Amino acid sequence: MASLADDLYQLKSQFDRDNLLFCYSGFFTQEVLEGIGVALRAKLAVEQTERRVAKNLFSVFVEQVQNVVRYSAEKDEGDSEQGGETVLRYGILLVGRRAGGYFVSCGNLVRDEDVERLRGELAIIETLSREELMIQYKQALRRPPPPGCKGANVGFLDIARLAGGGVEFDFTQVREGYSFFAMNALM
Amino acid sequence: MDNISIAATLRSPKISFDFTHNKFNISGESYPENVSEFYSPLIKEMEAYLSSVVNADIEFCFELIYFNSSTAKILLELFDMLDEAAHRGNRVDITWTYEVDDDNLKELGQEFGADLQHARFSMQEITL
Repeated sequence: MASLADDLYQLKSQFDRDNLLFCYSGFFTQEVLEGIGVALRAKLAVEQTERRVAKNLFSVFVEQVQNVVRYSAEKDEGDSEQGGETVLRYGILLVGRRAGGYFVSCGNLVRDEDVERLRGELAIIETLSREELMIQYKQALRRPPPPGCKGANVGFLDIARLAGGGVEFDFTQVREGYSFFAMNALM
Repeated sequence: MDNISIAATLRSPKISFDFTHNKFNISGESYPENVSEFYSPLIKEMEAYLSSVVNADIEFCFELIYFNSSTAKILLELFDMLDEAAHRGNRVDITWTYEVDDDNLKELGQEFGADLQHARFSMQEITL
């Protein structure tokens, strides 16, 4: 019979085999982003990661997490401690080592109706060269944000631009009306 | 017009807008929770100032260590506003600093600077 320690150790061992620095799964808040960001920078400093790699990794991490915070379709809505409304959005974040560098993977639920649009945007981004990514990035920065967009809507372009080892993305339908969106960036 | 001075936080930059002496500085890190909430009042003040100022020597220094893509949008907007003020006859100097080896901030500075038609632009490498 499996024990508490066996189960948890098995999970941890799997993370170790995947060369994870850490994994976070659950709801993301601005404080989570801030806290993980501080921890991530501390870890990269301890490892004496080349500063440019560390900075790109941090940028990709921020853009990925902000995507979850803004757009994840899995959410809790209710009162905040301060008395206002709050929304907690769920996702999963992995940061680890791969192929002599690092990877940042992030995933969250999206509504099926958004899958084709996202897939289309990302498929185009995948084909762009570094120079083309910069041109697209600048054009996107100058475009007014589409309605309902909480950021500059240029996060994916920024991630692709900064991920020296490339980006990959994937979708899988998980239940009626909802798919799981995963993105991986290599540095 | 009152000068603006805002202290840096973990996620938002130090702001120093000295309208009296036409000197402006944004430094530190910028990935605030709500970018437009943080920057909208500043952009509004800058717009009012730039639309009224004539024949001035304006210095704007960007000394950011890190900023996210939502902030990049604001920075490009500031560049455009400053270029427009230079077009109307003000002398505008924009300085962009980047940390040694920070190829990304160096490249973004070059890209943003390349779009300026009227303002003078210079880049400065710094060591932290």
